[in-house]
Amino acid sequence: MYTLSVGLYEHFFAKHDYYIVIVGLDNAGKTTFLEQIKAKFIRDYGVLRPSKITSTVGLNVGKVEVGQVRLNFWDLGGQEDLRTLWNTYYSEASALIFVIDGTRRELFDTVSSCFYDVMKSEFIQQIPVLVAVNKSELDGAATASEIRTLLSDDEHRSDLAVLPVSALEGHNIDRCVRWLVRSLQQADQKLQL
Amino acid sequence: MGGVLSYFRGLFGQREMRILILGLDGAGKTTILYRLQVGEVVTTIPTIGFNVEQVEYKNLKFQVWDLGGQTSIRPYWRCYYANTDAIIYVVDSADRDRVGISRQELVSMLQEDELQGAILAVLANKQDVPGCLTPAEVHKALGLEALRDRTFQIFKTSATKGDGLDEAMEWLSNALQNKK
Repeated sequence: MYTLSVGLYEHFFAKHDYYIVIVGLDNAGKTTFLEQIKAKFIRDYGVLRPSKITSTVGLNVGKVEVGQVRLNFWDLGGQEDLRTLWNTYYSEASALIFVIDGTRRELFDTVSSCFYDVMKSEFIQQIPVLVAVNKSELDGAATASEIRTLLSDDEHRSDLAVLPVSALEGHNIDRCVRWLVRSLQQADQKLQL
Repeated sequence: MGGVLSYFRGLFGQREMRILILGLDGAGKTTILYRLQVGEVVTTIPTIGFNVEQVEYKNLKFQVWDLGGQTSIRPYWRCYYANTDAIIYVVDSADRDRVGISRQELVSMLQEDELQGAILAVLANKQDVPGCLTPAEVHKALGLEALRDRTFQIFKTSATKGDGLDEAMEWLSNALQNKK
């Protein structure tokens, strides 16, 4: 009886942990994006002003609770020599966010090959992937459908979404988080069936 | 009401942040401490025991402890862990032979319960020496990819030239204000 009640309690009240890795080229806005998520979902969070954010060489962590789900974010450095470190996080990740600076068209070739490299990982092929096209508030930013043509995901067997966001202004951030939560829960249900 | 109280606490009750500077002997910890405090390179001798100074950076007060790094006194580091807000871990980027030992010390230090909430800044020091490890190489050599629950950042520094320390302090003060 005790076990049953504990089981029921856990089923209804325990937070389910998910781990989400945030990657993308340097200066795409990954850390600002994570700061916005924290600002929107953590009460009384003193958000870091974007002007104070420096290039990440290391790791920023963020824990956010949405309903019964706890999202643990790992925001990684995007500079070229740091990209080889990304795959050490893949095996534990439950979802991936790929952030793109939508205004820097001269980098789109690099973005495309970088995304291709990420999607080569067998771990990533099985988990939801969200592509955030950042800086969409600026003139001349690429649209989501334009970015979609850069992304090859032939081997990917889970959900993929491409959403325009503005990490600076906070536009579409909640939509990204809602999409993540829904896809993560659906992926879990598929596993259970 | 709580908001008003916390506002006043922010104005008056500014607690000094406690920072430990750790790393192997000869990494440059004492030079960094005095670079931060007086802005000059001082002549140092190997620290037996500790140096502690109050450092002010942009209206924030830090109490910075520089602990001796020799093998025989590293076991005493743990006596200083309580209530630590941040760790500055200094690595001699030119000393490829001992970076493995540095990794072991870092790993065992970060397992301590008292340091679970502490923010980590890794200073890849002595970047002025040709052929030294790059930040990405330091990241790999220290096994930092094993960290999953802690915000950390690596900085290229040269304590003798004064490069990179401002960036590190700026990041630390932002990260610490943010954490509260």
